[in-house]
Amino acid sequence: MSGGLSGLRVVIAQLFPERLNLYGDTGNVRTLIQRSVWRGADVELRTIDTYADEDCLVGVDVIVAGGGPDADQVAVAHGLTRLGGALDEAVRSGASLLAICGAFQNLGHAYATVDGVVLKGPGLLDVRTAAPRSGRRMVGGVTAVLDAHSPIAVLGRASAAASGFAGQERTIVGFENHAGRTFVAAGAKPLGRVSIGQGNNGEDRSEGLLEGPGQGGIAGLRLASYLHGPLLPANPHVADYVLGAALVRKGVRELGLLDDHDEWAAHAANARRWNGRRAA
Amino acid sequence: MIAERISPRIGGRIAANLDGAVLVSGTNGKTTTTRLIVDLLERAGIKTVSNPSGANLLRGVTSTLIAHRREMGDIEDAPVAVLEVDEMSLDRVAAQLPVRVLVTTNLVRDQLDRYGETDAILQRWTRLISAMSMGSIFVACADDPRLMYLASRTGSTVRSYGLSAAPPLATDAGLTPEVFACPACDGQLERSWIGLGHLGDYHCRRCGFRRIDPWLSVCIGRAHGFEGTELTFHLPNGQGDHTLNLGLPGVSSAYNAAAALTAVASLGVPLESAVASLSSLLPPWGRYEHVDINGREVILALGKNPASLAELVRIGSTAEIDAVLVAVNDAIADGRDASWYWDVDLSPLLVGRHYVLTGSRRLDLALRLKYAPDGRVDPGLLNGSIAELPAIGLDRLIEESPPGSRILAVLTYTALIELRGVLAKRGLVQPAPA
Repeated sequence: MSGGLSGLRVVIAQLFPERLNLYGDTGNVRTLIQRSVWRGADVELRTIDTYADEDCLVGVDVIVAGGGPDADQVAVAHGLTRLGGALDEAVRSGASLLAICGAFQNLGHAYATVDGVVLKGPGLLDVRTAAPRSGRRMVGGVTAVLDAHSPIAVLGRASAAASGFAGQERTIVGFENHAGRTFVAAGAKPLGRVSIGQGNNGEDRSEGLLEGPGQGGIAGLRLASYLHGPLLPANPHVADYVLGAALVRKGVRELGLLDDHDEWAAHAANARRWNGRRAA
Repeated sequence: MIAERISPRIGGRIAANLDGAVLVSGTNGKTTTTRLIVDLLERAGIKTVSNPSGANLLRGVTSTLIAHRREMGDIEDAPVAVLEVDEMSLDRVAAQLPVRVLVTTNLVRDQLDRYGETDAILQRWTRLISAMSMGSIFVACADDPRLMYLASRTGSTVRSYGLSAAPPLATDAGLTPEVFACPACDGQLERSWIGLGHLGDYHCRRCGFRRIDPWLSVCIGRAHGFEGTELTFHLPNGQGDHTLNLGLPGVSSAYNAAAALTAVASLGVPLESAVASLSSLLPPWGRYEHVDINGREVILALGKNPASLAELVRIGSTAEIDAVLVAVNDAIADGRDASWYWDVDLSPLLVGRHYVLTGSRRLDLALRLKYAPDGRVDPGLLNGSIAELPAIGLDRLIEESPPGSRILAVLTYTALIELRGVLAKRGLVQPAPA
């Protein structure tokens, strides 16, 4: 294992795990921890509940927030209000934010619930989420294609090639299960374009959101997605991009390669799997 | 499949030819609880008709009852229908049958892609339970806050069951309990002890909603691995304490046994004799079923969602087990989203033992192990521990394990059906009832 982060302390915060852990999203946290530890870092994990104090995010490198049941989103919205500017401040000072599914919806400008109630969000993500169309959930396996110039694809190239899976870095795979329809603002970019699955809204093929460091005057990376699976284990290029972006301010220029054969093998198997299902 | 779209109806004459119905629903424990109720009623001399576990939608329930009537005709001695019912079908089944007892075991996240969120089930159940008739009895787990909140809103008699105290436990499977918000006010639930997953003691700091002492409670004593557990039942109305060895392992089996006792008591079976019958009952097929294969003892167990998988890790980590097969499929009946096993740390079950990972999501399963807390799993061990199909994986473990070894097979639903089908073809187990 490469020791590119030895001596470094990495602080990961998991937001509201008791409410935002619908099916395995906690695997994203495990992935960030292990990929830091394997490179020699000391990792501190902070679990932040909806009753936490404002200073709970001081010094955090990566903030991870997962999906929650629709019914909990009001409580989550209140929790976000309670955290007040702490979350905003952490991201503005350079922490990476990974938001999955419910958190993707909650951290945008506004989120309309099934009941038509519009919850205002902190606007950390440049998206709006419209109410679901009645009776239509977007459920199934997803493959999304990254732009060739996407920094994530560029970062993953060497790792995929070294494992014998060259080209896999151009896609992300996962499983979506959502009703809300999210629309990325005109100036912002989605994470990828779905080739299989519904994506953010089932209309424009966009999946997720990628606002790189410095974009919109905010120092921290904001990456959001509807994909469970969880997202990071079988998408090691996304994991390293989130981690690497947060550590730039600590002087880390390159994370260094890990042996990602198992990760890319699972990635490729899932991409084939979803592809086969579409053809069936 | 046009027949599926036409809602089947249980004819009035079929329903009238039953001595009432006992319905069993909930995320985990339906099959075992149903089987225990059937066995306890039969031993008390009460005739029953019951459905196979794979037939728990309205369609399956209907065909079970029609087939039974065709076979038996109009008989004097009408049976009690004891039916396992899928959570999303419960309201439709209940609407067509003379329900005497409704048993709900627990409600926890399961197959989100198929059922939607747990709240969708809860909404349907709330309507059903508010409309239940006065004469019927609602049996629910006292340790499940959402079920007890439901119970507070029914007009029928409520009989609850639960643990008398925290079980003696080893091993943290790393499962994040799902429910923390108070079902009455959405405040924070305090937990003084956990029985299993989200089941346990609770009270709300904000509105005062709290667990009430169950009508029938059970205390978990010494565990004997997968052989069973020593249980002490505290019977209501001064009927005393009764200790026995249940031939089914784990906290979940204690809950299932308590649910079954409460249900049969609600039909008038004397509790003391029912408790006495419990110790000699066998598990239903595929639920901790022991199979001898060439002198190796194979235990088939269903691990289908985070709660049931965590329970298997908990029992298995301290049990005398030499090798473990883990099979995760993602067919529709398993849930196509296989993310759920990330909620459970499998490493306490596998470390230091031979194991094979298999099923359609075997590569994701291998990743789950690779990302277990550092040092628990040697990544080198992962190599060569993967097999495409459950039967191939099991054969490999049998080959590598000396006679007398015990092999635990942890299987999702379709993996269990598949592996058991292969074993039935080889004449090692009876085929499952259709």
